[in-house]
Formats: sequence, C-alpha cells, structure tokens
Amino acid sequence: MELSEQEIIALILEPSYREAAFKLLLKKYQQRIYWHIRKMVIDHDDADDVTQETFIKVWTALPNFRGDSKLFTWIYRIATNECLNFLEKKKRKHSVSINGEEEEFLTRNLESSSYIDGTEVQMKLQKAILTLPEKQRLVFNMKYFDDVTYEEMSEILETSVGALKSSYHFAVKKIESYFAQQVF
Amino acid sequence: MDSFIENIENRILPGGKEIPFNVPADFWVNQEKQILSGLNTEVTYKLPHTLPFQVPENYFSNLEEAILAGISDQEIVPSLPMGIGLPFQAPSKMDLEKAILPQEPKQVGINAIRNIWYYSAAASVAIAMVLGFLYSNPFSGNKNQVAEGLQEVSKDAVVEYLASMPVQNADIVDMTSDDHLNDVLDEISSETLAQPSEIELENYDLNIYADEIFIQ
Repeated sequence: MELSEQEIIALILEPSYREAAFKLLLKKYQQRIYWHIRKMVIDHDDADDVTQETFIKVWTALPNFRGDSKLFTWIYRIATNECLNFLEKKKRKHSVSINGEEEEFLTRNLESSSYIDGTEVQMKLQKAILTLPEKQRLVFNMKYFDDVTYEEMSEILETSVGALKSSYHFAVKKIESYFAQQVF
Repeated sequence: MDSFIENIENRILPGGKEIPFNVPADFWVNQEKQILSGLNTEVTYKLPHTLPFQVPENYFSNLEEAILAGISDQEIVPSLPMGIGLPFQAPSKMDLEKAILPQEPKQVGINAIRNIWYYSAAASVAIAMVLGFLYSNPFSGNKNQVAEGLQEVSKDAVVEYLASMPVQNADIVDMTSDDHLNDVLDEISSETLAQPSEIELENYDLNIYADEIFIQ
C-alpha cells in the first residue's frame, strides 16, 4: 500500500510516527531526488553524496515541517540547495570563478565518469545543457525532464513564474543554437 | 559523380555537347548552398527526454539503507514539553491507519496540557509532603524536643540542609523516617561541633590560625 503525500504529512505531524513517515517518503521520493541531483552534478558518486546529505537534512528538518507547502516541493528545495552548495564548494576547490570553467569541469565529468553511457544525441543534449548558467540549467532540467509545473518550480526556486518562463525560453534558445552550431 | 558535376559546371552535356545557354556567374555556388541547406534541414534532431546516466545494480535499495544508517546517528527522540525523552516505538499497522484516517478535530496541544498537569500534580504532592513533614516534625518550634543535646538544632538548619539535597519522590518516604531524621540531626550536630584543630593542613603549620579561619 503506497500512501499519498497527504497521508505521509499526517504521519509526519505526529512526532511518534515521524520515523515511519520518513521511511515512506524516502521510498517515495529517493529516485526522483537522486535524478534531479544527478542531472546537476553529473557524476554518480557526487550525486550519491548529495542525495544522502539531502535526506539527512530532510530528517533533521522534519520536526519543522508544518505542511504549509507540498512535501515534494519542500524536499526538492532542500535537494536543490544542496546541489548548489555542492557546486559552489567544487568551484572553490578548483578555484573556478567563471561559468565557462564550471561547464568545462562538468563536461569532463560527463565524458569521464562511470555510469554514463548514452546515445550521441543524449550526450550532445547534456553538453548543450552544461553550457547554460546554473539557474537556467535547473529550470530546463526540471521542466524538460521532470515535467515540474512552473507553479511548483516557483515554490521550489522561490522565483516568479514569469521569470521561470523567461529562463526556460532562453535555455531552449541556447540549446537550439548549440545544436545549430554542431550541425553546420 | 564528380566528373558529371564538373562537366555540368563547364556546361558540357553527356556526349560532349556544350550547353547552349548561360547561367549567372554565382549560380552553381548558390545552387550548392541551396541543396546542402535543404539536406541539412532534413537532419533534425529528435531530442530525447531520457538521460545517458546509469546507476549501479541495486543502487536505490543500498541508498535507502545508507540513508537510514545515516539518520540513526541523528535520531530525533520524541520529547514531552517537560523535556523527558520517550523511547521511540515503531507504530503498528492499526496505529498507522488510525493516524492517517480523517479524525474529528481535536483541541491543539491537549496532550501537552495533560502532561503538564500530570507533572505539576506530582510536583505539588512532593512539595506538600515536604511541607507537611516540616510542620509536623518533632523539631519544629520550641515544642516536641525529643532528645537532650539537640535543642540547639533549629528548624532553619534542617530546612537549609534539606534544601541542599536533591529531592526525589523516591527519597521522600525515606527522608521522613525516624532513622533518617536522626542521621540528619547527627550530621548537622557533628558539623556544628567540628573543631578547628581537626583541620589538616599539609606542609604548612597553619593550625594556629585555624580558630580565626573557622570564626570567619
């Protein structure tokens, strides 16, 4: 029996059932969260670390969850923040200060990491996505691969729907232009 | 194929006959561009909604175990408002169903109020017992002196002594027994009667000042 999000929230709000609720939400969301993170950090081991960190943060923050927002968007927000923190740390570690260099480092991950094996078009699309700035990358991945609505994205990224639509539009244009350059 | 194109460009038809009409100077260049761009527009990418990423076998079940092991270090113990930790007990299926089924709205914080009430009542009983003891004990006031030589021990001394001790519910019964009271009085008496000369000071012969120190 898989419980709905509302049922899991009801359990979370009862302190004595919190651990049981956490196990349920872990089962329900771990894969979506992992893939969300993986698309941002590319490397499997990094995604593994960030996913674990995310769920440990979720566990420690559970008593503060009041059910005001959807559980899914709340966890997604924590995961997104963890991703951005992770990338920030990587940048500092490699003294990366310019966007282009971050792209280079992630592209290296894409080409050399284990557990990456796709078609030529899949790889090209990932390389194109890596040319985008972080925020556009987030928006594009969430919209294109995960079908997250703009309203949900607005809650997760704390950005207006209009700004998100504009970010997605620019991201698509950049990816189109990347493919156009690859063709000619 | 190349020679055919070269021949066309040189306006020579198969059989060696020259083409009897001219074309603009850049015709062939433009023609090539148009043909190639026509070909290129047909090379369209159907962008995939899938990812080129994989995960190791059984990764997600291992991930779940790793996360559960990770949170065990940071387990949040459900606590009551008084700060007393309760051990976590896994809920039964019935409990889970009860928790997720819609229930009649109940007063917010009723459990907390009930718990505060319980602990407040227990504390009140404990205080009442101590006060009861103080008022009814044989040493309060100038009456009920039970033993000679103990008249000098005042009620204040007993109260002060008791206040310095951690009072727990389990101790209260023992503390009100005659034996315990006698021990207490003996102890207070012995403290009062301690002689300065009994103070040992190593390396320094300060016993001569002991009287002064004691008086201070």
